[in-house]
Amino acid sequence: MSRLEDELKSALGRKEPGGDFVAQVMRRAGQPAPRRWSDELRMLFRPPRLQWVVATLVVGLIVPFGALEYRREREVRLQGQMAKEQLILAVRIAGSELRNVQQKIHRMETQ
Amino acid sequence: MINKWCPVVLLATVLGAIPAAGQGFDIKRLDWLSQSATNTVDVTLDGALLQLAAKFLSADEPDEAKVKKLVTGLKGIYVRSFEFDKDNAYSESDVAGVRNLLRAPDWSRLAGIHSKRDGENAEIFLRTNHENGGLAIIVANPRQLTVVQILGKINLDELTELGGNLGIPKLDLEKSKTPAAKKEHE
Repeated sequence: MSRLEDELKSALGRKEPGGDFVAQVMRRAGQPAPRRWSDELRMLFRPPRLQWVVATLVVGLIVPFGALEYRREREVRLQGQMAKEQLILAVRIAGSELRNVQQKIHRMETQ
Repeated sequence: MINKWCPVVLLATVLGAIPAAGQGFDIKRLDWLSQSATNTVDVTLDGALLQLAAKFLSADEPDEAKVKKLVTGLKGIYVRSFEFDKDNAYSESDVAGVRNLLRAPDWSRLAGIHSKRDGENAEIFLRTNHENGGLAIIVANPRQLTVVQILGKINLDELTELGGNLGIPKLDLEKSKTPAAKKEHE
């Protein structure tokens, strides 16, 4: 055997992979392929997924409706508070005037 | 075409001007006095607004609970109170106009006081000829006119008890009273 044959045998011979070979392959497989700017640009113009469309519509309806309902509720509460204060004032005036008249009548009767 | 509808429009206008049976007098006829008054109290609560006000009264607060109980049978509560900075800012005919609406058979005069010394007139009317009942109070002195109308079932004892007894700031209504009246109060 010549030296050349030995070298060929050594170069073409089977070599066992390193101990972390499997781990390295798995790690690489988990990583996303690096995106190019052209890919990013293309993604912007892709049609949105259905669930996102539904979610956007739901949020778009719920938020204005909720805001409107909250505003209406607040207005009713404000109106109710004002009405309550007016009612208390009215009862107080009516009651005190009635009391004044009763007291005057009583005073006149006792005199 | 216009002539054809004229009687209908006229009739509707006249009917609209007549208060429906069961309603009280139109207290709004006094509202013009607010132009010359220095202080005005204007309360108009009826129907849905009265119910709303009652809903906001707390059953846990003793005073509010009393008011809530009192207004249960009420259909409406109307108050007009005017304070003036000079004597005779309103005429007797203004008061007479209201008094004339409180006549039999619906209303009957329960009590009346006339004080020559301080010029104060106070009258109480009850709506007796009506299933719902009602109360009207007219208190007139040279610098103040107060008219109260309450429609519905009202307990006078409960109302008297609540007068000046509620936890709200006292109105400055005493200011306008004449010195003689103040003296009498003292």
